[in-house]
Amino acid sequence: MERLITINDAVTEIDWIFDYATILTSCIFAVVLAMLIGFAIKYRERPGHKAHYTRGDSPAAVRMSIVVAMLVFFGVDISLAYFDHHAFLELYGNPPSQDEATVVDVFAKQFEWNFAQAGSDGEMGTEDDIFSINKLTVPAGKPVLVRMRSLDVLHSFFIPYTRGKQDVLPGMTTAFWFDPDKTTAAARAELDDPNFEYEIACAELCGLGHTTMRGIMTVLTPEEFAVWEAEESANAANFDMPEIWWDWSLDPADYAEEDE
Amino acid sequence: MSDHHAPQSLLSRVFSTDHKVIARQYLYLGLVGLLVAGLFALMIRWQLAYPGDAFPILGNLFWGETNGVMPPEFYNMLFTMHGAMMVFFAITPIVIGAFGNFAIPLQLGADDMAFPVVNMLSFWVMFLGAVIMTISFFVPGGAAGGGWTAYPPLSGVANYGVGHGASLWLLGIAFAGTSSLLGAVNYVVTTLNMRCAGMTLMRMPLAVWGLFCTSVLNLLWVPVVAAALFMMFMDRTAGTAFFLAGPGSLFAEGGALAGQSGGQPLLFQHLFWGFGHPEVYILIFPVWGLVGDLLSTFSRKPAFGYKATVLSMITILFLSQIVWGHHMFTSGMSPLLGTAFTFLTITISVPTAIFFLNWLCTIWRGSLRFTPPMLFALGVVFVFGIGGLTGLFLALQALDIWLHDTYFVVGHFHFTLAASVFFGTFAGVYYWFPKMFGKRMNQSLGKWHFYLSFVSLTFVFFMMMYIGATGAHPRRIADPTVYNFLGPFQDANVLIGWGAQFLGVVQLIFVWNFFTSIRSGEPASDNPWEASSLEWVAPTPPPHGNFPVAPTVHRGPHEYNAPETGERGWLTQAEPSA
Ligand SMILES: [Cu+2]
Ligand SMILES: [Cu+2]
Repeated sequence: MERLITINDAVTEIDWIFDYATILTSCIFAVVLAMLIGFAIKYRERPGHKAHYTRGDSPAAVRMSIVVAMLVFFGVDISLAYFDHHAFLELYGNPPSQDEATVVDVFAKQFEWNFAQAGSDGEMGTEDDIFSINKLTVPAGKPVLVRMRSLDVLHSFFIPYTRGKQDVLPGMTTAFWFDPDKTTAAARAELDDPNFEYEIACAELCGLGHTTMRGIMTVLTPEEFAVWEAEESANAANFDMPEIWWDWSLDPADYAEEDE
Repeated sequence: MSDHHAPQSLLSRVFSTDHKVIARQYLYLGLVGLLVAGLFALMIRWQLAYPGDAFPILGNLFWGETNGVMPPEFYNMLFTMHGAMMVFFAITPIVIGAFGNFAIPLQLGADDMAFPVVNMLSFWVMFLGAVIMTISFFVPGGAAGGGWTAYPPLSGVANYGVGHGASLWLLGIAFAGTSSLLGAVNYVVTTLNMRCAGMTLMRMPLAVWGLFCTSVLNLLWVPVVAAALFMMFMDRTAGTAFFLAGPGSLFAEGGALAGQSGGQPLLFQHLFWGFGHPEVYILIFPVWGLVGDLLSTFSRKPAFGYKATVLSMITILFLSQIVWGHHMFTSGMSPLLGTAFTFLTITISVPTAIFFLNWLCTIWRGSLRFTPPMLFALGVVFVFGIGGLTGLFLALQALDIWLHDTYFVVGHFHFTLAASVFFGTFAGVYYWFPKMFGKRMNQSLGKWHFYLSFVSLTFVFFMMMYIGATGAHPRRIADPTVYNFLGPFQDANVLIGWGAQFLGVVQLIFVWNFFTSIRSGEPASDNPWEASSLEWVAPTPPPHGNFPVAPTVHRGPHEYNAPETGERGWLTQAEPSA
């Protein structure tokens, strides 16, 4: 079974690390298994065969233990941590600034994803802001910066195609970002599946409707997005937004600190 | 010992202070817990295999208005209670309660635990906890449904859909924790003070070392989780807000979260996992120790690198307490902390590698007897190998941000914790049964039980890792067909479902073997396995007070085929050399 497609090439590094770890650990496990099975056959109890008496505390045994410990620490642990940390810095070490990114405010609640975007004027908290439930539309070609708060319990914003997720909490702002290089149309072409959609899942148990807390993300070309944005902004006043959200719309200053 | 031959009243037999009776009580409680929590698992897997279909039997009985389809709140209860009961009312009573009570005094040559009354109390406190857990199913709103991790605010306030069962759940776990604490004090003091003449610390069987390290961790961390659960109980019932989110306009008069302020949901996760990660080792140390002893006994060879094994266990004891953040890479915790936790976590692989090395070197050049306990011990090496190695994936921050909350994690910790402890449980029961009950279990049924369990269990948990890593299959969802991206993996869910049912049916072999052996098994000799630790010196089954004459120890716990043992190839720890 093929693994899920990625939304850009950078995040395939996570798949690469997974494969690397799989190969490394499979080799180790193969050795363990070979010894288990080999010894079980070779040293089974039978007439004329006697166990060899050793306590395994000779200097040679101690040396062997030290060699194995070193191999595991440097060969396995450090190499895995090195590649992983590299990927971590690459993907999560450098949040995009608000100016260069498509900023999306997420208000998660039982059991829906509420998305707010600035609209044509580029300003959050104005008349033409775009709101939608469980439907997110972003342009390809520039980073998406998602700022999230929960209105009730914990949720987790999970877009499998980005190979990442981030919990959403009440009383605290968390952020998540990714580069949507592949439009929904491009992904459909790649998969040869005209019905494909980028799905957003809630990955943290949030109650009875957790299973169905699903969103759809549509990635458009910048041109298509501009058209979409103008249209939605024009109709924005139709959306009756609970006042409480205005109160709570994120103060960009909150996020600026984390940005440094 | 003459007073113990007097006929005992029923009351004094039920509220016995004899460690062996208490061990059996723990064993029965644990096996019932395993059965119930196991049935929950089978129901979970059935639901995931056939979501949207009417659920067999229960559907007709309870869920008429949904045409027999399991409602999501029931599903949430199932996995919450499956996890909580497995950890606190199945594994804990069996590997710590039953094995600890049975093995520690006998293997140390003591006549009982240091504090027999406290010991009795610890069982009955746990029993009360189990009763409370059972009652929680029948309160309005049903049992807890916020996951066994019970994260607030979902589990921390009543208005988010998790009913009063969750308050009882908190109480039940608090009772289980109190029981663990009482037991831990007893185990530590018994191990340090009640050893017979000649039983130095470095002559103790590895099982006792495992139980000792477990008890130390319990003493350090159960109070932490108990405090956290009590704080949450106060949040739920007394209007405090330890774990309910901090100030903000949303909390003002009329705001959706009015009345909650000042607290921090993340704090609970730190406290919970501060205990939760050591808990993994709390449950696995007794099994590791037992496996070390069994591999040695049934290879007729000393445990290879005994001292290094003990040292590794103590190293892990320390390390296990400073790695909890690997459960929280996506929680909103600082990424800088995450990097530190990644590094600390992967270093655990070094002492763990020494463990494996020593296990493998123990069977190397041995003379292996494939009895049921030996097969299950080898099974532990296999499943813990998979569990430990896949743990490396989840220790890595960037990779974990991808795999977290998917079935890869579920598969991983079921290999590490469920499969290892499951096999460890049966290894211990098959091994100590003759001494506990004075009867032999059927050996070929034991082997069939192992082989069939091994195949189905490995298949089930491996497939879970596969759908998690390849398909990003999220945990704790009642219906995988909600997501298009899970479409290609529904067949795998069906296979896992049937694999799990098969695993469940296979356990009937054990149930049958267990009860028929108690009733009509062939009588056991004092030392059917030709093992050298002290429990096999005691009469079968051991009377109250254990040893007619307090034994004196002359050698380490596994001096099989040492030169001094001569032609026979083994001497118990209590026999002077010829
Ligand atoms: Cu959710
Ligand atoms: Cu952990």
